[in-house]
Amino acid sequence: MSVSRGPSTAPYLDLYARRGGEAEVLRTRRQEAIERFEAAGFPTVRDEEWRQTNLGSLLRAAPGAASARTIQDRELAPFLYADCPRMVFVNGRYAPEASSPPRQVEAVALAELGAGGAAEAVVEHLGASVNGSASCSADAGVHPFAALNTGLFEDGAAIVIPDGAIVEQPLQVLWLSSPAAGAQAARGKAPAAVEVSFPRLLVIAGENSQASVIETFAAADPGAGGYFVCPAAEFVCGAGSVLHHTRLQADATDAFHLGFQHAQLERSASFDSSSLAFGGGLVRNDTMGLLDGEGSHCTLDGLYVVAGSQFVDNHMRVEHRQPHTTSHQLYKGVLDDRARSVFNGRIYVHQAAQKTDAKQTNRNLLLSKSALANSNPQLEIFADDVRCTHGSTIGRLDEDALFYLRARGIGREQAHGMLVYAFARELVEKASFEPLRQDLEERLLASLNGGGDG
Amino acid sequence: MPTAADTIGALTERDYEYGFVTDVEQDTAPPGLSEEIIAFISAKKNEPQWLLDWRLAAYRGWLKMVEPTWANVRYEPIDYQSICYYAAPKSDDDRPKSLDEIDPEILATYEKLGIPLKEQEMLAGVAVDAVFDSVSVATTFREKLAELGVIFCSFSEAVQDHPELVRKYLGTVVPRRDNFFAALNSAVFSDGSFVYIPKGVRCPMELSTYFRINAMNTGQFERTLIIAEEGSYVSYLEGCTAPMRDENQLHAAVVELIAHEDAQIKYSTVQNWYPGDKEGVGGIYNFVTKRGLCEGRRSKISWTQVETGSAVTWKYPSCILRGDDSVGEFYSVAVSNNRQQADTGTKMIHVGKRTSSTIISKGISAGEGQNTYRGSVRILRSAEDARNFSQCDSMLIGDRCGAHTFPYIDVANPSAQMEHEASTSKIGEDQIFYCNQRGIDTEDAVSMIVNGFCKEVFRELPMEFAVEAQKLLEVSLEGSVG
Repeated sequence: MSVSRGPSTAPYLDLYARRGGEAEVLRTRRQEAIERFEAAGFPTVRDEEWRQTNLGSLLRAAPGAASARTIQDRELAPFLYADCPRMVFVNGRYAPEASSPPRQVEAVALAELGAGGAAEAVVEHLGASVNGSASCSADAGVHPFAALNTGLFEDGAAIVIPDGAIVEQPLQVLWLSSPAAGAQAARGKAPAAVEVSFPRLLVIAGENSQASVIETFAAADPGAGGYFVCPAAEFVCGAGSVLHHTRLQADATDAFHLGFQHAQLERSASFDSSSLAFGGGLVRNDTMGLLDGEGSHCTLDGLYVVAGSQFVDNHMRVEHRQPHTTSHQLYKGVLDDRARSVFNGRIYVHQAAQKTDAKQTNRNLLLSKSALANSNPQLEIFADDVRCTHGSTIGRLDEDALFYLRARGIGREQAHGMLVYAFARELVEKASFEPLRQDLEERLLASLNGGGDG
Repeated sequence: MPTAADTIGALTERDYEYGFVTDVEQDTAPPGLSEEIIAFISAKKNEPQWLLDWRLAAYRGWLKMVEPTWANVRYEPIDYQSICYYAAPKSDDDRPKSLDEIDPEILATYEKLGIPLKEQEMLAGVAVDAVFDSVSVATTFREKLAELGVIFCSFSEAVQDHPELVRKYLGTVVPRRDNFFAALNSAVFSDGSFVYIPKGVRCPMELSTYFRINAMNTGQFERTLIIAEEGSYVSYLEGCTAPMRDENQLHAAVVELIAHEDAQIKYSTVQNWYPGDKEGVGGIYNFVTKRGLCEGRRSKISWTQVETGSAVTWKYPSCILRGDDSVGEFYSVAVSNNRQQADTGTKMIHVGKRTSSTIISKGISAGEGQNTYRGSVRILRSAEDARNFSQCDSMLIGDRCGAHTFPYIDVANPSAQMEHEASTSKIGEDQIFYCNQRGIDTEDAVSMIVNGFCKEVFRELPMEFAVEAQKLLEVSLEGSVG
């Protein structure tokens, strides 16, 4: 990413200066990250990678650190899955009273990171993807928001799964936003100020371990807007490990959500991630998969169901560095009203990565005349013995299928709903944890009914 | 039996077959670019004041522009002040009336290229407007075309004889400040072809121009303008070969096509400029802006290109589908061998209702070549029921080359149907083995497989071109197993 003179970074650097301090072991790492952020600056639409993401409305709003708040159990209930070990964060701060950390693994809040134990591994890996040592090729550059998160996160979750451990129950990490009432903007207007939180997640899967992690981003009050979530998540998948990850994003429909995820895979590791986006006004997710060990596999799937004036941008980059690596991406979008989506997926195959098998698919369903879908599936290939394919489609519901259903006595509205649901369902069904699958299905139906006929 | 690798080695090491330099005296402007040079070019060509003003406006725009760096190509920076912007054979003032008056050396050049001047042209049925460096020295079949009202001449002649047409259409599809290289071309364009097909006329023959870059240090800035009036049809061929030399040469052409109601333009290119030697020394920089406007209803523009030459190619023949029911097509085979780099593709901009476009792109990379497909499909809100189908396939030969695909798809109308597919593959050992077993040697097998890979594009080329294209491909690379 080229250095450009974007909007002023000063308000965010000011947040750094006024931050509350951190675990001693992380100090240099953070300093480094904030320097990188300062050097890179905020991207503008003149940066190729940010061409279609206009950050104007976010960067015009004055950022303020999210306020501390205690949360009631009833506010949390809708987002939690029964029996799941969990870590709950409110406005980026750990809420121990609401959490029940898992026993089989080491799960620590970053703010309480001491010395010894998990700390050593955490310090080694935290921010490695941002600061360059483990990041994708140099031209991927510094991700400004990942750097910003590294410099500014107040707290976060570090989950260390020991070698050989097989964790059956999924671990849930809930990131709840609950901005102070004063910060909320009038609906439909760009806010003058935003409360910012920087959720940070690090998952280290030991050799031959198995686990699944569910991340939920939500607003305590769905009507609350005017907040900005800037999460970063890193997954370090040791040799032979199997890690499942589900990322449910159900933020308020006028919230800002700019996320970064990075997975690094050792030999024969497998990382399977599903990202489901229903909320947020301006949403951007940058997901990177780095296949750094022979025989590793990653699946990066996603679904976005947006309406109103929501904007959702998914940037993916999968790098095949070693031979016999495979990757699959399937992103589906349903867009209604004036919603806009961007899918930008890049598969990068290094010269050494012979026998790569990579597949990338993006399908978009436009339900309204004013919806706009952008799809940029990209391949960069430097090895010859590979199989790489990508496909992209954008279209509306099949009139023949609608006719078929209506001919059988199903009303237009219902037939419409059935077809859209059928289109999106594939990604919901992937969830093997039953309560999660049910929750996703309900959310899908709700968002289809909410925007489907509007 | 030679192994596949030996065969590839032998083929990729083959010398450039069309390399030679013809000695002809040149009437050349001093190197450098300034308003004076532009005025000199304009005066040399006896141009009207409005055209000089147009050039100067483009130049002033160009001065404010920055050379684009987004393309996936690497090359030494170009010193625009060391290029000669004008070179014409001495015979410019006294243009030859027949072939006898033409410098025998030039004729010999054409002979070597196999351009069918004289009797051959009748047999081949091709009207040739041969551009030798910058000024047309021979135009044939003019009378026959004139009977139908078809104008096919060099651009400078068109400026003299049909200024109203040139003035009306020049820069309407590619504005003079469209991009860095188009602006440079607009300022200094030397010559090119001009085609005008009147209403209802179906041009009876394939119109063809052969370009040659022949003078040392002379950038070539072609300007082509093709106008097809209502209900007309024209097929235009452009083919290039260039002599061998060691200095990088800049070629920044602009091609504008305008198709009115029910008109059809078919534009085919075989490009085989000098690609540089195996170490990447020399070779042509080919930075071309080609764009067609489907102005009227049911009009159609079809681009077919076979790109085997040039050290660096930067080229995106595009269609603006403005008329309802208009059709745009793009068929491309791009080959990059040794150190060649190609960043090519198309833009299809759907404006009118029920517009449709097809993109078939085949990229072949060998040696250390880098081949990039970069395409954009935009379906605007007004483009009700638009359709697009894109297919971009890459073939990799050897393990040091690269194939890249960067499609941009923007759809703002839900009735649109948009499909994009891409795949990357290599020639499988099993395919070669299968052919070997049936008595086909490795070289032929590879050639067969590559030709099969490109078949969909070759099918679109006019007959004579298809043969030439296949031959070129065989020269450029037949070897295909890494």
